[in-house]
Amino acid sequence: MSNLLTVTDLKMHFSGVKAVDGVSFSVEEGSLLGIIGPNGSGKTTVYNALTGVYTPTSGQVMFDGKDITGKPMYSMVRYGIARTFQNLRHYRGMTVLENVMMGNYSNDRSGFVDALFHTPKFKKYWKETKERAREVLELVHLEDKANEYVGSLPYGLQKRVELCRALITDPKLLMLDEPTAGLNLSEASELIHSVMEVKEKRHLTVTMIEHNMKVMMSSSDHIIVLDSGKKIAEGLPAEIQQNELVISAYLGKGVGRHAS
Amino acid sequence: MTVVNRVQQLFQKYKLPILIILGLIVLALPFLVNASMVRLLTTVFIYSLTALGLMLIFGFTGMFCTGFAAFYGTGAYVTAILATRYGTNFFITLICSGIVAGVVGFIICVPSLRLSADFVGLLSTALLNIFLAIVRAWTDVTNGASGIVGIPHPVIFGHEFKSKEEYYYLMLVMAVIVYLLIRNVLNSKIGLCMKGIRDNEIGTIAVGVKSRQMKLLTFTLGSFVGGVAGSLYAYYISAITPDNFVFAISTTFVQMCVIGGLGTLSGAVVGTVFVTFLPEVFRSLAVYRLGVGGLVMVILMVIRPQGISGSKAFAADFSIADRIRQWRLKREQKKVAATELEV
Repeated sequence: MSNLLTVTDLKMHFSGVKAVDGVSFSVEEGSLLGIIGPNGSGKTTVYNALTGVYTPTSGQVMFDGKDITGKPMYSMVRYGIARTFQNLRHYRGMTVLENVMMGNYSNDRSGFVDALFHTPKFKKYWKETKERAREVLELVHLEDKANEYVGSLPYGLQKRVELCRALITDPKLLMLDEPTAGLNLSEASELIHSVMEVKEKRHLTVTMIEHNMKVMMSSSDHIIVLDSGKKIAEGLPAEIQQNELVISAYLGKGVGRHAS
Repeated sequence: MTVVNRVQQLFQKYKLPILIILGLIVLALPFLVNASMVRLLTTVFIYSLTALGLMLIFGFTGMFCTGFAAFYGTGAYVTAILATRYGTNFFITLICSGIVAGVVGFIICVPSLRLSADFVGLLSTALLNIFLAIVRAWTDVTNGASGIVGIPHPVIFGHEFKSKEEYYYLMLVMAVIVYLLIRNVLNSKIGLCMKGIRDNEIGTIAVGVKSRQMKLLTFTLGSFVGGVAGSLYAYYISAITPDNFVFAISTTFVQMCVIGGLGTLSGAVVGTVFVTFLPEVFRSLAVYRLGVGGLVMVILMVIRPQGISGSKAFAADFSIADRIRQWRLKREQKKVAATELEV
């Protein structure tokens, strides 16, 4: 198995604040990489620097043999990277179906003039978009909610809509940012179940930031741990659970050190 | 509120027959009502075009544009100059007016890309003032404050449009064509992008949309439509002065969009009809009619903040009526809880 994503010495500084300071990792094709770390350790910043929300201060990001360092956010879909956001980034004034159809933007090759006169080319792509959106909705069992407004759905389903929007772009790499945050236990396990199901069906590679350790330990193939912008540990879930640095990052340093 | 919802439901149910009947009524109207009403309806068609253009920019893409009269005025002036000085063909004048207004819109949109919605509003107000200043000062071309008079009647395929009925049908056809074309654009990935940018710009960029290009496209398209409307207006009233395009007109366009329902295409038309007819309905109140009309608008916004044909999803956070209802509900619950404690 080859590496789909390789990040080398990624640095993201905000005028003196070293949010991410020299992080390197790689993701094997078809695997699920878990990223954990205490609050403010730079997990989401790593995502943002990878997907072009920020331009990294230094470092290199290789994806599928191409250098995508500092490429703008809108081009990520073209390379085959789709992500979800920690705070929902859906469109509340649109229906579920429209939200998901939005994700097919880059696959729809019809232009403005086609849209203006609804030419056959436009109709072909529009029909395809609708079909694909329904397909994806079925994949995560949302097909019966297609015509409801997203804002009126419960939070758990809203998160699924965003997952759908990422999936319809037909990505190679799916980057999830705290997919289960704010969900109750059953919603969380349903969502993760959906993710794993989709991952198998579409042969996806997934990276996932998550605080729910139970979810992390059971679903990840590999885990990296960040703290204060640095990678402090890496390995199989079972190894991470035993790692002393990780335990101290989460639970605080030993009592002895505080006393001295 | 429920009345409006029921009307919407009925409309959805019997869409085709209602549309056909409405269409026939609209076609027959010039023979049924008096002359001043025909004139009023003709301006409704022209204004609904501007409302449609503004709806693209403000209602769908979420860029607050209070200076829309600048594009409207640009279109009108281009038409006035071309038609009086060069006697150009109606269609060429119409397209030219649209294009010039579109180019102005494009230029204005470039700096506003870096601003948030409220400041785009300020910027466009500034644009309107600049436009008025240029029009008033550049007397060689625009004839200054006295304006341009004697714009000839439009001639289409050898037929000269003179009577008010002919104008009525001309404006009607124009409004319908533009409405259908804009509806086409909205029912496409471009329409989705516009709404996406309004609701969540980052999320839209994340699916591969170049949001700046999309904003430029919408702004240009909206101001193009505004220019076309201005051109038709110039043909219709045959004499224009800078006073036709002042800030008050601009705010009227914003009113039309907001009252009709932001983010709905039908809202642009409904809002235009409402705003245009409101002062007429209260005509018997003489000097008080504007005040009463304003009061009606305030009440409407309180009970239906999403606009007349707006969707519920858009209003969830704003409805004062809903908030009052929730507040009363909470108070009731507190009372119940208090009595339970006493027991």
